[in-house]
Amino acid sequence: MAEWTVFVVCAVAAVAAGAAVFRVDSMARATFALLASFVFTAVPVLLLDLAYLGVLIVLMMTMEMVVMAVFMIMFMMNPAGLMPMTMVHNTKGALAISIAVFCVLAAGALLVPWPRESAPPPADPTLQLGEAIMGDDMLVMMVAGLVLFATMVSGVVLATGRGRYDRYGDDLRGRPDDPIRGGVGR
Amino acid sequence: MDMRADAAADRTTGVSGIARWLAHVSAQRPLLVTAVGGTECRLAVERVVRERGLRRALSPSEADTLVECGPAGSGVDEAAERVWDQMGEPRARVRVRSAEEAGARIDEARIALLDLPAQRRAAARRTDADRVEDQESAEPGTDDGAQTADEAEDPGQDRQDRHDHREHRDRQARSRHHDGQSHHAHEDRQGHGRDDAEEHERAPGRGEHGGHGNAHGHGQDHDREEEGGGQEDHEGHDHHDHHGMELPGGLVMADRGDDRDGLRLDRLHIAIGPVQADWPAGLVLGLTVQGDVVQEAEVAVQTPSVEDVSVFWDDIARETLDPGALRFRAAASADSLQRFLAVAGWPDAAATGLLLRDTLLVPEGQATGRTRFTRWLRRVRRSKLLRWSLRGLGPIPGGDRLAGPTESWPVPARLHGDAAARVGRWIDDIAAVLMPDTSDTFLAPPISRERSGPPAGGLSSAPPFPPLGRERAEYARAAVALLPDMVAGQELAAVRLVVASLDPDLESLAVYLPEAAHD
Amino acid sequence: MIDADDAVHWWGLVLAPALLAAYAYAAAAGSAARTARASGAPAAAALAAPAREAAGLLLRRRRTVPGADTLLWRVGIASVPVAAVMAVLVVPVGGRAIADLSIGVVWFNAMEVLLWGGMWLAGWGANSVWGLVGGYRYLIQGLSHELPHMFALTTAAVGAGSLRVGDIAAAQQDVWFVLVMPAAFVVYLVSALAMSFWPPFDQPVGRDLSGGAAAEPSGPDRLVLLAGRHAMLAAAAAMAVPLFLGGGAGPLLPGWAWSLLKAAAVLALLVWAGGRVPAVRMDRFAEVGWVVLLPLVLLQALAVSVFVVAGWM
Repeated sequence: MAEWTVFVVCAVAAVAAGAAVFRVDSMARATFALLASFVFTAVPVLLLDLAYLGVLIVLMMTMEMVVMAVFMIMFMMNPAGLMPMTMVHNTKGALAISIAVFCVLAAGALLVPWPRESAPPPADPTLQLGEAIMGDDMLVMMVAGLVLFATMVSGVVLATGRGRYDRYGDDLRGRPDDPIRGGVGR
Repeated sequence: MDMRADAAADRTTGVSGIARWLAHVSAQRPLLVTAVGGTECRLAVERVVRERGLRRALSPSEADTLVECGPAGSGVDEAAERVWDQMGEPRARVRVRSAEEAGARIDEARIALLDLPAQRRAAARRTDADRVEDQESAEPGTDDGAQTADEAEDPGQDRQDRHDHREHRDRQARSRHHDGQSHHAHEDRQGHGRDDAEEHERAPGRGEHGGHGNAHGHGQDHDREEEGGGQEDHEGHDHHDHHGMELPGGLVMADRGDDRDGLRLDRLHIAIGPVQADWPAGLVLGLTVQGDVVQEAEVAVQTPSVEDVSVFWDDIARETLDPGALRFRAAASADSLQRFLAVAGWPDAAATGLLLRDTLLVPEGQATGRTRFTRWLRRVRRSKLLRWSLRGLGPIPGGDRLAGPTESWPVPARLHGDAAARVGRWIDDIAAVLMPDTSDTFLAPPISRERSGPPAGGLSSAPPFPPLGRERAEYARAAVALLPDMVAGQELAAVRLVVASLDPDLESLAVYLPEAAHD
Repeated sequence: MIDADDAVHWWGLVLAPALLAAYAYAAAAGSAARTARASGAPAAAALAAPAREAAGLLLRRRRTVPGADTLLWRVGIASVPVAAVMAVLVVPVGGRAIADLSIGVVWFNAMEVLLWGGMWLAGWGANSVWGLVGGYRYLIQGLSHELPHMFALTTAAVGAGSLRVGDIAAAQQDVWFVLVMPAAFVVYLVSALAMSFWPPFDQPVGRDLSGGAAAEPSGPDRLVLLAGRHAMLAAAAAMAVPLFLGGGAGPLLPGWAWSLLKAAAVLALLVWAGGRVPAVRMDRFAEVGWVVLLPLVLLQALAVSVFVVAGWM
């Protein structure tokens, strides 16, 4: 009973916070409303005894939302404070699509015959999660991690305006010529 | 006052016994404002503050006493007035005109702070004055770009009818403080939508920042600032038609400019000084920043209006180089060094430096606590972290010549090198007094190596003793001329460190080279 | 998350904030005494300085700033002490924590990451350039030290084979982790200083920015922010004990006494370190964090993993 109450409260709050993202008057408020929505989503995950995933959602989403706030404030003008702004285009169409998708997903969640719990829940869900991910598929996971990292690095390299030759000169020797020096001198 | 009178006073004024007790146990937090010509007063006030165990405030939000050092009538007074406006009750304000009255004035301020009923009345008066100004703020302001202003707004009042007033760039208003209510003090002018704390760094002479370009001196309209440090416009269009855009506090959108990475980011016009912790007195550095990277800089000097400003670090009576004179000269270096260490974020070392400066300024007696100071000096000199932070910062190459209106002169040798080299020279000055008989390699300074060898390029060598008087004026002139180029492209921490490593003495500049101060 | 045989010690919910406040005050008093000694004043009188400052702040009027997003600003300021209290929920004192979660290490990490958002809001929300730069400096600091910090925590968890803080403390019966994984301990201490923006990582509230993120809040707001900062340092120091210093293990005294003593020792070390060196510049520290600290702690994690696989731990 208590679980149901918590679930319902968190579900409603998550949807409300998600809707608030498009209604508030400031990019910072939008970002933190989105963060609130994520946190409210993480609480039901905790109710499912998936402690590691729930706390991890809070951890990663906070960091990501803060980084997103940095970029949003950098790229979308807004003073600290409230300014009427609109983040949606094609309002009617977007609303219709989003409501339809929500109904489809909710229907799926409610109507799909989920398998009954045949085995008792594992003693240590975190360990089970770890073994499921890294036990048989460790190589896949490691390669995926490396590919992600390489993609991030390549993205930054492609985006930066100055390459190695700009920084070091044509012979790639000596200290880099940066307007603001780094700490290690690389 | 007996208990019954106290209790009666409490009832009538609403000041509870707890508030009185809190006021009694609370420590004073003075905020120092130094005008040009107020060095002696500043030194005295800092000594008094140190002796009483108080801590200086960094911003008006934490200060309860405004201590104005030096003669009145310079441009610093306007900034001090704005800072005073931003301080919340209980608050007190004193002016220290000579070194002897420093302690007495601070005591006066403390007595004023303890008078809680009077503070409450003053607070109520300010709130009422705000409300009255709200109600009569409907007419357009006069064309005066010299004052910055805010206007308080009733929360219930509709913001819509403020729209047409937002285009009036030259409103007058004053910053406001409110008792935790949600009044929005907004600025209806084209200046900083920023906050009050920034206003105290604004130069009075500059007026609004860049809004009309008059303060900026360029007359360009597209550099209107506003909000934004670091924010960027997501659309490509120009910002000249903000007028109907309702913004919080009546702010207007910042305009954009290219930054070093080719992004178009908003530009913000701020000014550091004249009221700033650990900042040369009378210096105003106007910066155009994107984020916290400086794009453009310009220097202004708040010269005093009185003619007989006395230079403290002067050599009139100290032509000789007897030990007393050397101590005095070393005290000047200690003053610069402790300010630099405070800016570099090393408050403990700065505190010891302050103590050393006060000790060196005592004319008689030996430097007591020699061990403490020697240890401190060694620690600062050997600090690898400090060297790492300063390496390559603010380099001034030798061989440059600076051009003035009528002549050109070489860059003084004492300013050569990066910030680490300049700081190293101060350390050497102090070491020469504290440890005069050690010239061996044990204490060979790792920071400043250029003292040991002959100067390169045939320049005049750095004088062996710390400068006073006219020499300081020359260094200040060179520093003021070099600063704008040195700080362009740096970020704010580096700007503060560069200025602190140059530490121009504008007092001696105003007296010995007045034409350079008034450019 | 909380197994059936765990108990949530509800009375700890009263005791923990009290202990945290005591340690936070001790950190503030130690810092004031250290500075007083440096300036030649007697250190004993300075021990009451934080209380005096708090008294003054309680009396001061609150400021509002034009155009500030007051809601987010106050939320950001309030999040600092809240994050500290939440983080300390999993720290065991003498073997018993308020809630010894099975994922205690991740919980601690998540709670201190809340400070990222909180400090950014506290800085940006005030509509002040000093606050803005201070908030962004905190983010840069976070981005530089967070990965090494996470790997330091992971290394301790790998050494014990569990994410539960109580298990990590219990796994140090033979040898303390500070001896097995010293690099992780050093990185953890560095990140403890950085996460609570304590000197030498106090550029977010730096003197060169007129107080940075602390430039605008006045009165009670300021008290909450600064108290939260000290509490976060105390929480990080307290967490170092079960992670690296063996928890409550020690002769003669009971477990809780040893826990408190060790936490006090770590706190004293951090407070002392604050006065020893100048502030670390963030633009230069970013490279150090990624190029020096991260490989170092990864190598440490590799070494510990080898020990575990080889059966030495």
